[in-house]
Amino acid sequence: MKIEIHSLIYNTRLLIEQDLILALRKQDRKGQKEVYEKYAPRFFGMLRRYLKRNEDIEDVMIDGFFKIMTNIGQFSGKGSFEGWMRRIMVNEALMLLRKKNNFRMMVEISNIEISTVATIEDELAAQDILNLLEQLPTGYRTVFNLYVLEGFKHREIAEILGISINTSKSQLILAKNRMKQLIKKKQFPETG
Amino acid sequence: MIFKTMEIFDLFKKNAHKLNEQPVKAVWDRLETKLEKEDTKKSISKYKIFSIAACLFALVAAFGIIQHNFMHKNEAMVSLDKRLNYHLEDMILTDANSFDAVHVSQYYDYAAQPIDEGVQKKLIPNKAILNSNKGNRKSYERLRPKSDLHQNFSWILGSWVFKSAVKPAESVHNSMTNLTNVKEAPALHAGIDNQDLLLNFNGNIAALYLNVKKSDKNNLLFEAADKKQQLMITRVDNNHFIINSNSFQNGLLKLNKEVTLIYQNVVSF
Repeated sequence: MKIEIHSLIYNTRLLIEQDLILALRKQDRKGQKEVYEKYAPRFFGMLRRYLKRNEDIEDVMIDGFFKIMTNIGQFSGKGSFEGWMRRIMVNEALMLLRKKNNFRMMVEISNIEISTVATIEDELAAQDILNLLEQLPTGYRTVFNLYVLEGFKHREIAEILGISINTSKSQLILAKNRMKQLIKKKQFPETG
Repeated sequence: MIFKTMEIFDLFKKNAHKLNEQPVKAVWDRLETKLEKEDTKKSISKYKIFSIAACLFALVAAFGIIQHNFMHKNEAMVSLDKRLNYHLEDMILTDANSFDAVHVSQYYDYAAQPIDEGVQKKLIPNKAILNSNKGNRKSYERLRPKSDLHQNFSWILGSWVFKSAVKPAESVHNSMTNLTNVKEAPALHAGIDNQDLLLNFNGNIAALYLNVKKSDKNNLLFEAADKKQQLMITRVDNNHFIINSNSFQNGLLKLNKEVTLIYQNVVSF
């Protein structure tokens, strides 16, 4: 029963998604707005992890959605529609980071430690997440976002960012360590 | 607050959605403006493409029509000739009474049109066709050569068909005026000295006929029944024909019988 309901929901979602894609292909303004309203909050949240300034996030949102709506013909329909859009948004964000020249990789091999399982809160408020991310250098943050939250492989990250796979790996370890420190500090400020 | 052991990556994955937030309305407004601009650009470029395609099509079509007309003008002339079934009326050279310059507005170039021979067609147009065009009927009635051969015009399908007397070129020898004598002395002598007689027509001449037996593309040969007398007329260009001097005897164009010279202008259509 549970499986049936899940399947029904999945199929309904697919149908709605197909309608939205069709509307985008027809360049129908209402359909475009519907897509925007459905996905804008998710992408806004995603972009907040990459970019600090609201103006930048809005600019990237506009450029990203514009590309999605005008290049919908390039979406083959085989993979996930949201995944396709998400990738466009991430690329736009990375382009802006490159443009602003704050996309630097900090690699300090001596600082790399193998992470261990940490004991931490399993709930983080939105502001906490933002605070933690904002304290990471751009390079750490970007690799962390791409690997942990977008699900890219190190090989893909290396390709996207134009760095080596090892750099991507080290950036992630450093980000993770820094993050742990920050969380510990947050949880037990007196010991930090 | 619940605490438990958790990998940091999972912690972020689990809580990342908390950052989701509807952007301010201005973001959509800006996006919409950008999309509208793009739509305008696209429609302009579509219009441009359509315009260019239409122009090209028109050019090709125009070229095709012109080429078609050019290629088939002679055939079209023949076709018209067959459809109208009009005939050239005989015009007796010796009875030519008009040297008026007649300007006919539209002619085709029929330089390549051979001079024909044989039984001549009359220039009087098909009456049924004329009757179908009331506007032309009046002109036709007024101008139609009736029983005599001295009218200079016929009206066919909205164009003047000129059949008039010979108008000699000014540069031709003075004796050309003797052609007038032909008028006065039918079918006997035309004093044209030893010069070729240049026949200068005002319009492009489609065909020139003699009641002859022989001809080739550019020459007409009148041959009397006894074969003693010959009259050769050669096409020079569209509207010039020469009566060759070897047609003359003792400086005179001597015709021992009535020679019919028929010439036909081109119907434009």
